[in-house]
Amino acid sequence: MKGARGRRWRHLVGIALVLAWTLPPFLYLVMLSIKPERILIDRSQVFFWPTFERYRDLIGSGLGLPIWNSLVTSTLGSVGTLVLAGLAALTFSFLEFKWKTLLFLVILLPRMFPPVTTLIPIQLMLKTMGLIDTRLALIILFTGFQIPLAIWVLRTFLDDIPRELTESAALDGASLPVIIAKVILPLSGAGLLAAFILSFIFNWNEFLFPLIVTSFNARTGSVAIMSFTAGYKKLQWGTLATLGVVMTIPVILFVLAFRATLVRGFTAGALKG
Amino acid sequence: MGMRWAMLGRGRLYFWLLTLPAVLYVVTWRLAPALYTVWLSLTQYNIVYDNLPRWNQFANFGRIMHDRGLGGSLFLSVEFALIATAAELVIGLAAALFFDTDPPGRNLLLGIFLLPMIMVPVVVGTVWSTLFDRTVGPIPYAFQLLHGPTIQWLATPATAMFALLIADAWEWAPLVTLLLFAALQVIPREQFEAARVDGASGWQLFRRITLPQIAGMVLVAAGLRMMDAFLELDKVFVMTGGGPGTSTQFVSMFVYKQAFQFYELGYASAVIIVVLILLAVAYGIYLRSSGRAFRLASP
Amino acid sequence: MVLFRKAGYRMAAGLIALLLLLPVGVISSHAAGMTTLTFLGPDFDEWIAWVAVANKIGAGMGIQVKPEYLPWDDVFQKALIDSKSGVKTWDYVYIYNTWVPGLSASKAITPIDEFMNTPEGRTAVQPDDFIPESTAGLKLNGKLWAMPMLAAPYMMGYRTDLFNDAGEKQAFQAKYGYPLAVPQTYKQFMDTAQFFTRKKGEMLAGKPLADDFYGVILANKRGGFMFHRFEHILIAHGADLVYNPKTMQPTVNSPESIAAVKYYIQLHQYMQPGTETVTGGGAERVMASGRGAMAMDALDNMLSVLPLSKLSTVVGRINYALLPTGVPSRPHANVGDANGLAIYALSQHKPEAFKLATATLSTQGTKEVMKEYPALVPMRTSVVNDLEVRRNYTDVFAAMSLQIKYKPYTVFIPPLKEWIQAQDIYENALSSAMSGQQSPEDALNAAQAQEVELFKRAGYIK
Repeated sequence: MKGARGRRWRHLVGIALVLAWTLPPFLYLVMLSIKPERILIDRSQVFFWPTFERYRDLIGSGLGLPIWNSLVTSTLGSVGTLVLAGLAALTFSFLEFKWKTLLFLVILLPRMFPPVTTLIPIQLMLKTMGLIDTRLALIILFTGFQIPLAIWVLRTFLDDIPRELTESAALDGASLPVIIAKVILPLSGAGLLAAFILSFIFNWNEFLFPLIVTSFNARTGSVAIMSFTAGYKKLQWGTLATLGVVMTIPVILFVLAFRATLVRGFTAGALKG
Repeated sequence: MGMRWAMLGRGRLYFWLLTLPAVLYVVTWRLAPALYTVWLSLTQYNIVYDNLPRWNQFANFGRIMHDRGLGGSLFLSVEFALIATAAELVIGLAAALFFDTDPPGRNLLLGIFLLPMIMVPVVVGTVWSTLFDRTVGPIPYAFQLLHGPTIQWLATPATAMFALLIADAWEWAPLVTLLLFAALQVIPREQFEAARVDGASGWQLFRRITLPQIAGMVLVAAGLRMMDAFLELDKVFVMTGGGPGTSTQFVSMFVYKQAFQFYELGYASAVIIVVLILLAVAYGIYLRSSGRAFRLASP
Repeated sequence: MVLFRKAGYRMAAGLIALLLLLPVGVISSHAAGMTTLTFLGPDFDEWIAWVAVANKIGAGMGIQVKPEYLPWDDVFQKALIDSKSGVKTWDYVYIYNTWVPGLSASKAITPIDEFMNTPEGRTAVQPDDFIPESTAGLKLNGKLWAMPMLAAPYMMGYRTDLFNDAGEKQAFQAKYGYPLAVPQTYKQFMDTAQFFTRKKGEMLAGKPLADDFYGVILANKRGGFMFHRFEHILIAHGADLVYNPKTMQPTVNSPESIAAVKYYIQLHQYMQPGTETVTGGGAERVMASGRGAMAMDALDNMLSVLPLSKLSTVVGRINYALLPTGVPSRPHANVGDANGLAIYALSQHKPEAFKLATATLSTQGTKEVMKEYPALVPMRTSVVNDLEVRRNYTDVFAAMSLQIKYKPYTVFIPPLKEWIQAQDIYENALSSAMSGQQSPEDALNAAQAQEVELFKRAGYIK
């Protein structure tokens, strides 16, 4: 049947395009990371005996704790964000009130502030609370950082929930927490996932604040890995490539592990025909 | 869209309580330090040499007026943000539509497509810097092999900007795809079937059914990208360091230099404030018109 | 609902894991009676070597050193911000000579002089043993602000096999009218660079080239590298480092300065093509893969790449020479570079820190560090002249002997509060002129106007 074959063709072309767009730079990075130093610059040498010593060096330099710190702080930070932002997004979505646009702007504004000038007051605040170099400090900061983004994304998803469902539940006499749990939450799976993934990624890649706030105990992966190249001397293509690969691997694994849930979350819900 | 709060069965107070934690959080950890920035903008404060900020009223802002470098930076940032966002919307939408057709291995493919977005921005900058590097990079090598023109990729203003745009599109189109795909998934399939039965063409399906229903998310994606691209720092820093001369010195590079290389926190704060006022105005307009556009687009 | 429950389990698992982990965080390894000193510095090989040696020597004193490695620029930032917010974590801080004015002004570090009021203090430091040309950068207002550790004099590395090749020598003499030799003047440097720049397929030392070959390899990345290489040429041409220190007047568009920029633009034709985007280490990698005839870089940069067989294809074929001379009054002019170990002002263990620092950076200590890191360029005359060093580290000895013997004209970056801004303005102009966006005169005239405005604002001139 022409339709089916045409569709398969289109699928194949599409798949090829997607892979051709995304993979080459990353594969190039991987290739650089295992290319021996002596022939690194020789572009014509595409086939070679790979060397894994860069990875050995990197892992030997004690990345276990920092990466674990990153995982913990990013996840819990995102969870915190979802909770706070979720509640706020409900208000923005379901409620009409006079200063809505303004309040939205006010919440959004801090996101536009480059964190540069807020470093010192935040460092001082954390020091007074005795939280320097703790994971808790990072979790607190991360939760706050992504709230604006999360509110924005969640609100758009919440807007899509048909009001008849919530209205009918309310008319049936359900209280607000019940409405949230039984009606809103199941239908906002996609939104929650999207917001979680986005904030997790931003938290994971956050460099400046962990750099200033932590030193030994709560050091994150991003800081540890960046310091491995230590500025100008070692900032080499090979080392950098290794770095890039190592920093991305955990998140890749995370996304791949959850991809089924991810997509199911998007397609779940009573709304899809 | 906006619903009467009474329909949810609880009083206004409830809602304010819901929002309060988030608002308080943002106020303490984001807004208050931000106010510190406002105060700093009225001082002379070189964090290395000045023990304490010294009040100098509006001297910083006066200096901004004369600072041609800043004007140039603003223009470059706007230019970059506009082109990058446009490119990302097109590419992202195309990819989202493709994923919506349910190709085999879609989950895995989507995961792969999202890779650039989850990479550390500095690493993305390094990858593309290496790709374009004239000694080590494959792109100039390919040009060389195919006897193309020898281009000084990152050393010429026009091509440096182009390189940055490609890197940005590669990195962030997946974000647009993520958001638009989620929106596409929510469109009920019956609408398409019914329209197809009536003999609608692909393009008509897209324009009449798809587009209106993802319009909201398109605007969200556009807004997010515009803002982030405007404040782009990592890739510029790694790839061009501000460009040949100052041809890719975006606003964020300008602020970074003031704050982290010159350590002039007072002036940097003033620049941030000015940029933010401009952004806030732009966003106010955006939110107003997007609300209107959304209402117009809804069936 | 299924989704919710699954997510709920995961969240619960995560929370439990976190709760288990929170208390685990703060375990400090306190062996009985051991003092732990912390070191904040970059992850460079020489500092890793130093930490190893410090732990070895410190074991005998009941001290252990715990390093915290950060990217180079961030070390300064962290030291600054931590000291401003009263954080007491650190004992040692790595310091680069251009950071001395800043960190001393913000009282983040304690000068070594404070420990030298006693005879024991002085003998421990042995201040007269330091090579003055290298340590001047770590001194300010008559005080020494850090224990000198690694000198990084800028020198020329060149391919001995090419310079000794009979065929090349003949061709050079024929073309330029004087014998091929290590360039002593910048005119000779330009000629040599031009001579050796060849395309793939042309002959070099009797063999056809598999790749393009370049006269000189340099790192010209914007944001610190470009100006750092150019500044030597700038002062060699007789110009000021941006301003005249006596009159405090910027001299960016002086005839000497313009001449230097023009020279650099001309030299650019003979540099490797990726020069604008490569850092120091990257440039040396290019040199190490045999693509260049000469390289101009910090000595320790070159030494850490070129002689290592793992990284380099030109092992044994590189010698080092002083930079060429421009104006005769400034022989082998260069801008000095120094790295040191400073003591954090808020350190809680200052006496121990001083004791260990002087022990590890004494003559004997430096030799131990060199065993771990052979490319270390010492700042003590006694180390350079030591018999063992002479025997085992011939490159270092040869290069540093040149420095000691010929005493090249060395200046250091001035301790000006606005130096980085002033340098940035100049580098902008240089980059603009090099990419052809503006003529050198236009670029430098514009830069001069900006410099004057900067200096006026800072109050140095009216």
